[in-house]
Amino acid sequence: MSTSTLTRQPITPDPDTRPHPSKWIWGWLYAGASSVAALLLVLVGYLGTGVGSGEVDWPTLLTESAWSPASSVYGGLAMIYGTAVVCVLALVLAVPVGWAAAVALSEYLPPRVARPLRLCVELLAAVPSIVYGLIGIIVIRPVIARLADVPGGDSLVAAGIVLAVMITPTIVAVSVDALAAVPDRYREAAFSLGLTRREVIRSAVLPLARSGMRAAVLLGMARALGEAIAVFLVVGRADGRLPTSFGSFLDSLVHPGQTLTTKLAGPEPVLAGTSGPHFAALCGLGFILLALVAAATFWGTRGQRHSTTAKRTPRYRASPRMRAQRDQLAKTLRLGALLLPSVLLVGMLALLVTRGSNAFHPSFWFTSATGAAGGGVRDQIAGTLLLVVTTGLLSLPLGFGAGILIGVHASTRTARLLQTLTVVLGGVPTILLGLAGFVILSTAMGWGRSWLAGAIVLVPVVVPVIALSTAARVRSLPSELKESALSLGLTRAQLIRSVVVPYAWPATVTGLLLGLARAAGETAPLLFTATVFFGAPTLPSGIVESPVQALPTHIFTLSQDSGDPQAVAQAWGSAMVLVLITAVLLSAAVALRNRFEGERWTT
Amino acid sequence: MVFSKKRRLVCLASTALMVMSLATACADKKGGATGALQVSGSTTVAPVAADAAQALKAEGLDITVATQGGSAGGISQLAAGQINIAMTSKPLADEDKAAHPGTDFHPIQIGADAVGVIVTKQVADGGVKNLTAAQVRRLFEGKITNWSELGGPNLKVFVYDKEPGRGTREVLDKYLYGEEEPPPPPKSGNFAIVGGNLETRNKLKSTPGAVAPLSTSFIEGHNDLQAVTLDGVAPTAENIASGKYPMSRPLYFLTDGEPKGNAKKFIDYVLSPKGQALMTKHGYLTLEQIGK
Amino acid sequence: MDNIITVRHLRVHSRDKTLVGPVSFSLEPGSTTGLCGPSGAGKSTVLRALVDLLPNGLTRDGDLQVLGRTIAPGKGDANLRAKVVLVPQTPVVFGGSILDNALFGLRHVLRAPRKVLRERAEQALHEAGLWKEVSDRLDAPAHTLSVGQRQRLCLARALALEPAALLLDEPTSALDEQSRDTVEKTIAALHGRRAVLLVSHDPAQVERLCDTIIRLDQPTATSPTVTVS
Repeated sequence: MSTSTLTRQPITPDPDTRPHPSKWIWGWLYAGASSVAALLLVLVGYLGTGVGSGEVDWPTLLTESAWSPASSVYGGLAMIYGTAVVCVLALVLAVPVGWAAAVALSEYLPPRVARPLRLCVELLAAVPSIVYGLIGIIVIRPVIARLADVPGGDSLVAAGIVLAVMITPTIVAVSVDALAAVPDRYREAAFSLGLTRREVIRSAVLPLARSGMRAAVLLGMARALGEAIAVFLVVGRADGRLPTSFGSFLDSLVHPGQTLTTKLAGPEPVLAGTSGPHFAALCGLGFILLALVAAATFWGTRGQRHSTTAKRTPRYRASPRMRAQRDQLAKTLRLGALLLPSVLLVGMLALLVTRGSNAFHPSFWFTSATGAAGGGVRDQIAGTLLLVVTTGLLSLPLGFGAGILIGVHASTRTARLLQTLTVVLGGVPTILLGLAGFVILSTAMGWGRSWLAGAIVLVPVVVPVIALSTAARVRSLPSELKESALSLGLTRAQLIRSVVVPYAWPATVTGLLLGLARAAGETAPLLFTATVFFGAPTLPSGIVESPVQALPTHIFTLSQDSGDPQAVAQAWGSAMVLVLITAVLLSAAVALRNRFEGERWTT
Repeated sequence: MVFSKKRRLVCLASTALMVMSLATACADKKGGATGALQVSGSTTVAPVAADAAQALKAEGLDITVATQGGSAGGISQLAAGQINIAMTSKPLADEDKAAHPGTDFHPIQIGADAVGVIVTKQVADGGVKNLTAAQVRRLFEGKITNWSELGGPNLKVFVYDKEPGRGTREVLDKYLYGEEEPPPPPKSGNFAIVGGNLETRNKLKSTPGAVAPLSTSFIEGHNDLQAVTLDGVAPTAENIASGKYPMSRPLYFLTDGEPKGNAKKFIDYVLSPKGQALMTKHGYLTLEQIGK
Repeated sequence: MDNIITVRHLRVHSRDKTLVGPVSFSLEPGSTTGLCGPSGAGKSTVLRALVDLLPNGLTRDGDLQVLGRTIAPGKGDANLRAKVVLVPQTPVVFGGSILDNALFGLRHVLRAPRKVLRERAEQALHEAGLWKEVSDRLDAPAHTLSVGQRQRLCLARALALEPAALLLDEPTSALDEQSRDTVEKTIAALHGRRAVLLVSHDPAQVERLCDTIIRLDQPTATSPTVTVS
């Protein structure tokens, strides 16, 4: 060994000579976190102004079930009930299936099969919600009508099922991310102890993936609460239904109801004007919805700290004879759970392909529209891309920053507060974003109809998804990695830049994709701020008074009242184009993620 | 995980500053509005307006058509001076005029939409071909729950009513209640709310005992749905033109004051034979058909 | 010359009880000190307390002086950890190549041209006895190394920092005999040049390598638990 080592100059690290001190990272993280708070504050301010513009009778709003603007009765209890039922139902159905499918994807299937399937699942999350709603109308309502022997089938149950179907892909995608982050050595170690696959997953894999899988549920819940259009089409939107006994509770499930979101996304906020008791009552409903999301999140994350401090010792289980059978059973159930999203994907694609065959003519993509329903949708495609890309660019740094801050603050009160704020932001009905954007950006700031305003109102849709999936991944960062880096003399800022950020970003990409996919299909906020149905140039020439056309709003307007058969064909074709575009974007980003996920962090 | 308080404050402050400066920078950029003629409002009229705008594009007329906030949104934007022409699918109400006293609303009817009480084929074949106003009212108030009560098949009734603010719904309310205030929707379990025409038709088709108000043009070519006659009057063009059929809704363009310049050009085009053909294309009645 | 680390009555507590200590010892420049005791005696905890990296929920009290500075609990900073480097028991490699890993600490601490950093990293790989095995594949992903090689990579990465003291937590516990010998040789070569605090459960190893040995026993309420031989 050479002795030259002795001649090296000793290092005198001090704050001034440290390279890449990365202090900017704190600015970034706090900018992200405060953007979440600021966006929420703006919304709350909007609602608060609304509430202030007319007297809100809170006790009536909370305890009265009848809602009738014509006779000035504003009671929201039936809607609160509807929201709770629909959301609980959706979670009860979607969480077990989603988790099981995620486990099947990541633990049972070979990567060769799992990767494309994972992409498909992410694609499902990108199907515009109006398509889910149509499937609800065509498939789920008749089934409910037959099973429960009720006419129609518009019901809370139908809404719950449609929502469950919608949030399953989100839950699967985020859970798979969490499972994929568990290092293989844990599996190896457990297998080598003679555990069956079921036991390995239960005792070695799931405990590490738990925080990510919980985040998946939170995200699913946020989407379930914030979703309007799909619920809209199947819930029946009948006001004032409140059960009084258990029998009538069961009965109410299969009959039409109303949720807070559908009330807010319906025509009433527009009809109510911008002040007065009706508008104030609607804003009050908005507050109740936000409070419900906050309460559910707080309650849902309460268990996390609990389980880490008070670990119960596992019971000894007898009958080792049954182990193989149980293993088999678990495998069957989990792979079976995977069937559901697959069937859904095939069905949805079949529907889209048969009805939206327009989309397979290149001229449909590359010519601009002639009139309402003639020609192609080039301008709409360009507008959608512009909106999605801008939203992505704005949301990515903010969501990433917020997510990392939540993640590194593991289990402290700040983190919980931030996380709750983030979920609440994700659960805001998008119509409120649209109205707030209209009041603030289009009117107060004088932007008029502007593509940038549209991109900005979509930011709150995307940021929470990025933040929550990033935070979950950061929490699963093995403590050894953190310790090793710190003991090499890294500052906390350097730790975040060189370890946390590269470790977390595959999950961030997933979050970005899921978020953008959801944003791409949003209609309500864009109608108010950014899009016109006809007459906008392909690319806007400025910011102020520069509208664009977009696919979702195009689909929405065409599917309303026009009796022209061509309009319906154009709507389906546009839906197909929207799905195809999202698919391409997704595949590109997934390919990128897979390449970097291969660069493993081993401990 | 202890971050120094000072650093945190500095970060928060700088972020706030950045956001604020960005916001004001953007607000300062007051660009001139595009010279385009802006048309906004009802989704019912929008496709017609878009087709008309397409035709006028060749003549160098720049027109944007938007659907923000439906008829009500169109009216309030017109009053606020944000658009040139509002599209509405219902007559201008006195409340609208009262809400915007500074605006000289100038309605121009461009066509009409006949609204039928639509039932499924099973119901119609079972004997329900005609309803009286009283029967329709009891149906929509949830007092009739089985079609056999109206001499039809033994099939449960399911009522789809349009959401408030829809032109179709207001036409029905006017037919059933005249100038009276319509009662709140019934609390029966066989009642649900629907929105657009396409959604309504989809739901009618998939529900055996359904009844809903719907534009009659929407059931043309759909043999599983039928419009009943009301007090013996069928929704034919003649009956609507003569005013015998009670349910139709006018489709309007609204301007602030007499239309001038490009706005007049646009409206004149829609009123011309070529423009009226667009009404037929999208399933509405032309002015000629309703005798105006 | 002053001691690099001086510890007086160091104790580590969880919320309701004392886990380790009181411990008192000092680490002289160039010395190799062994810290041994049965599993669960808190050897690793003591090491973490020295660089202020105790797991959440644990606190320490007592007097700690590092390089002439008194370190209050929770006030240990990154610059301190760059001079007194802890090498944890689990050989963690970061994403990236072998060279990236060898450079990992250095590039965050020392502002110097890339060439200089690389030279230092390569020398550290020499010093850790890993150079011969990896010189032809410095750009290969680090997770392709065996456990023994990873352990030495962790050592190299610490040595590249030119630390005043190395705190080694069971550096050979996961290794086969041959790798263990290599690592022990590396540690022996450090003797006289760098202070080393070696945690080991293997008395023979401590005997072989160390000039001072601290024994840590299970803490009891009454008796002091540390004997220095």
